Amino acid sequence: MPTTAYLLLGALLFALGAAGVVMRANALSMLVSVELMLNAVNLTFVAAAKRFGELDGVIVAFFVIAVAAAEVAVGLAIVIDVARRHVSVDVDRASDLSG
Amino acid sequence: MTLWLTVLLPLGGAALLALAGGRLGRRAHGAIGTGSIALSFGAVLSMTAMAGAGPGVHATLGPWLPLPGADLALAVDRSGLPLALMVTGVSALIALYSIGYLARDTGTQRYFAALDLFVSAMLLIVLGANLAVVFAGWELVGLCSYLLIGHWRERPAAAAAAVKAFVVNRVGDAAFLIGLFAILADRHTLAIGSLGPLSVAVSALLLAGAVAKSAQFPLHVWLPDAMEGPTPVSALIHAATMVTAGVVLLLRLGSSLAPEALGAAAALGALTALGAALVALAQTDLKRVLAWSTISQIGLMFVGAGLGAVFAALFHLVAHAFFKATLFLGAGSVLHATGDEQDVRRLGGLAGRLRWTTAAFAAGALGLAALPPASGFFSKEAIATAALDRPWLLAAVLLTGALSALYAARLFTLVFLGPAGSEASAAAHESPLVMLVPLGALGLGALGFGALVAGGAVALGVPEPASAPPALALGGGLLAAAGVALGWWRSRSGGHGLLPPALGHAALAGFGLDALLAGGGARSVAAIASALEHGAEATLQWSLDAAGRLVTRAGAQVQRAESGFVRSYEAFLLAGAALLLALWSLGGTGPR
Repeated sequence: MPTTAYLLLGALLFALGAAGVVMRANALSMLVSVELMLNAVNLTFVAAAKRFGELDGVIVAFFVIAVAAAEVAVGLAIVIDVARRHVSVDVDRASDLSG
Repeated sequence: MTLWLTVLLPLGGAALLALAGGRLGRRAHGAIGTGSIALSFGAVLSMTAMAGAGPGVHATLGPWLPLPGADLALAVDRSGLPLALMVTGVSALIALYSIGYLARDTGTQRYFAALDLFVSAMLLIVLGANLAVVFAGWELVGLCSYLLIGHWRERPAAAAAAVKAFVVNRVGDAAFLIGLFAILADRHTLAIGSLGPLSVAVSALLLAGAVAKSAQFPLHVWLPDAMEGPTPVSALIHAATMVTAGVVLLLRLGSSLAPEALGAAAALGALTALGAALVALAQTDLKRVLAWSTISQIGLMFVGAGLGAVFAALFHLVAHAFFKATLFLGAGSVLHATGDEQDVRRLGGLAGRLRWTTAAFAAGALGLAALPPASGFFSKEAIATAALDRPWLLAAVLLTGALSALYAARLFTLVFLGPAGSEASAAAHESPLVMLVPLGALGLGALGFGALVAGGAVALGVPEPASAPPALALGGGLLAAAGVALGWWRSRSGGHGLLPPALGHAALAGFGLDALLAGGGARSVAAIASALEHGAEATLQWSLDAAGRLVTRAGAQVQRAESGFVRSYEAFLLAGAALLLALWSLGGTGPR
C-alpha cells in the first residue's frame, strides 16, 4: 500500500475528530473525538516511520499514547465535576466563564 | 569706586539686616539701616566735593548680561549727583525718623532691610550707566514698595494696597521692558549716552513705564492706596524715591525721546496735575490729601520734563522731595501723637500741643502752597516759565498752583488750627527727639532750598534758564497767597469741602477712575483668565474622557470573544492552526 493512502486516512480521521470536537455538545463525545484526532496523528507518524525506515515516528506515537492516557484521566475528572455541578455533561450549559 | 560705594553701602546694610538681623536688637536694626544710608550720603557728598567728579564719571564693576552695553556700570550724568544727594540725604533722615516712629513695631528687621534695598535700587535708577541697570533698579523699587506698603501684613487693607501697587506697576514695567527689547533690536546697545533719537513707538513704551512708576493718569490708582504702609514709607515713596523714578527716567533719556512722546508727557502731566489737585481738595483723610497732592506735583514735573525744561523739572523734583517729606513726616508725627487719627475732621487745635511738628508742617505746607520764599515758589515759577509759550499748559500749571495753595491751607487749618475735633487730638503729645530732628532738618530744606538754588548758592548741575519774568512771579505769588487765604478762611470753622457738593463728591472718589479700572479693566482681565482656565480645563477633561471611553469600547469588543462556550474556543483554535498552516505552506517558512 502506498504511503499516500495512510496519510489520506489519517487526514480523514483527523477532520472527523475535529468536526466532532466543534459540533458535539456532549463532553464525552468530545473526549472520544479528541481521541480520534490523536490517533489520526499517530497513524500519520507511524506511516512516515515505515516510509523512511526509521524509528523516530514510532517513538513519538508511543509518547502520544502515553500523553493521551493522561489526557483522558484529567478530561474524565473534569467531565465528572461538570456533571456534578450542572447535572448534565452538555458543555454549552457550562459557560460560567463568559466575559 | 566711590560711585559704587554709594550703591553698595545701602545694599550691604540690607544684606546684613536680612541675614544677621535676627540676632540683633531693634536698636541695631535702626542704626544699621540709618547708618548705611548716611554713609552712602557721605560718599555722594565726597564725590560732589571732589574736583572733577562731575558729569562724565564712569565706573564699571564688571560684565553682567551678555548684551552690548549691559555691563554693571554706573555713570554720573548732568543731574546724577544732585539727585543722588537728594535721594540719600532725604532717605537717611526718613530712616532716622523711622527709628522713633516704629519704636514699638516688631518688624524692624524687615522694615530697615527693605528701606536700605529701596535706597540702593533708587540709586541704580539715578546712576545706572545703561538701561539694563536702570531696569534692575526699576524692578527692585517695585519690589521694595510692595514689601514696605505691605509692612503691616496682618492688615488686609495693607496687603491689598501692596498687591495693587505692585500690579499697577507691572503694567508700566511690561511696557518698559518691551521698549528695552525694541531698543536692543534696533540700536544694539543699552548705554544711555549712545541711544540716539528713538522712534515714537519706543518712546511711548518708555513713557508708559514712567507713567506707571510715577503714578500719572491713568495709572495713578495705586498711590492713594499706598497710604496703608507706615507713614515714613509714604514719605520715602512720595518724596525721595519711587514716584520720582519716572521723572528721573524722562530727564535722563531727555532728548533721545521722540518729540511726540515728550508732548504727550507734558499733556498727561498737566491733566494729572489739575485732576489730582481737585481730588486732593475733597479728601478728608490726612494722608490721602498728601497722596493726591503728590500725584499732582509729579504731574507738574512731567510738564517740565515734557517741555524739555530739565532744570525746572529737576528743581521741582528736589524741592518737592523736601516739602513732601516734611509734610509726610509731620503727618506721621500727628498720627503718632493722636493714636492714628487720620480723619482731618476729627483733628484740629494741635498747634498748641505739637509746637515743633506744627512749625515743620507749616514749612512743608508753605512749600506746597508755593508761597515765597518757600522752595515750592521758585520751582513752580521755573516750570511756569518753561511753559510760557504754551498757553494751555501755562494755565494748567498756574491753576494747579492755586489749587495746591488752597488744599495746603485747608489741610493745615483743619489739622492744626481751629477746635480739637476729638478727644485723641485734644490729648496729643509731642513726638520724641529722634523724630523731631529729621522733621526739623527737612522743614528747613523745604523753606530754604528754593532760595538757595534760585540765588545761585546751590547748583543742580544743569544749565539754568533765564529767570521768571517779574509779572509771572508776581502773578504766581498772588495766586498762591489768594489760595492760602481762601483755604484758611473757608476751613477755619470746620471740615466742610471747598468744592460744590456734586463736584466734591465725585472728587472724593477720585472721579470714579479707580472703580472704573477695577470694574472694567481688572474684571475683564479676570473674566478672560477664568475663561482660559475653564477652557483649558474642559479641553483636558474632554480628551482624558475620550481616551478612557475609547479603551472601554475596545475592551467591550474584545470581551465578546470571551463567550464562555467551549466549542467556540475550539473553533478558534482550529481556525488559528489552519491559518498558521496555510501561512507556512504559502510563505515557505515552515519547519524544515
